[in-house]
Amino acid sequence: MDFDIKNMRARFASLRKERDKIEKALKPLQDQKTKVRTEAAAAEKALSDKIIKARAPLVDIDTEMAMLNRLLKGKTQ
Amino acid sequence: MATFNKFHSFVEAMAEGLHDLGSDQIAVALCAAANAPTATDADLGDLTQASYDNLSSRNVTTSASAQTSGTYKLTLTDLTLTSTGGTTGPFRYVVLYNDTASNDELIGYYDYGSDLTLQASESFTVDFDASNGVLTNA
Repeated sequence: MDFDIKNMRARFASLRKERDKIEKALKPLQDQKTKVRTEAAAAEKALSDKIIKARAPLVDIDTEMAMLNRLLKGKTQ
Repeated sequence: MATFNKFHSFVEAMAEGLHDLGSDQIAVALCAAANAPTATDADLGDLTQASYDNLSSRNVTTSASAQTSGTYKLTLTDLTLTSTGGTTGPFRYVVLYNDTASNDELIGYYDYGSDLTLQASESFTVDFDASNGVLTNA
């Protein structure tokens, strides 16, 4: 490590420049990811809502089956 | 009620969006004592499962997936498995996994202590904690 103040400042400026360049290249990729995620989320949300609504009756059915199985001690047939 | 043991990978999978526990299909897999799951297993393919030839549906019904005061809780409805036309097992471990996730990512498992075998016409209820939920995330 070079502890010369002038050299350290130059190195700092160089790192800042390099960092800004990488971030600039990353921006369109992040924007693309946001777009893909937004589109997918909308489609997935619609499907999830349908699934949750369709499966609602299963809660009561499963609960009653479990209760009956306990009363029958596993001999359900 | 058997104790829930989570797979290590589950917490990362949750944080990275692989699970939508509110509407994904959660299912159970069964493993014999000789094929015990380990905490480092991640996907269904990591398990050696029992045969399901005689077994009813292994799909679990999610009854609630919500947070209260910043603590998330997943609640599942008890699942009754029925063996028809022959035996099922032996199995000791009941493993929860996400059947909708692309790699059937594992969630956690219950250890029932010793192998059990369902005879033909017998049923077994996987008793999920309705009060505290199967898992929480605070």
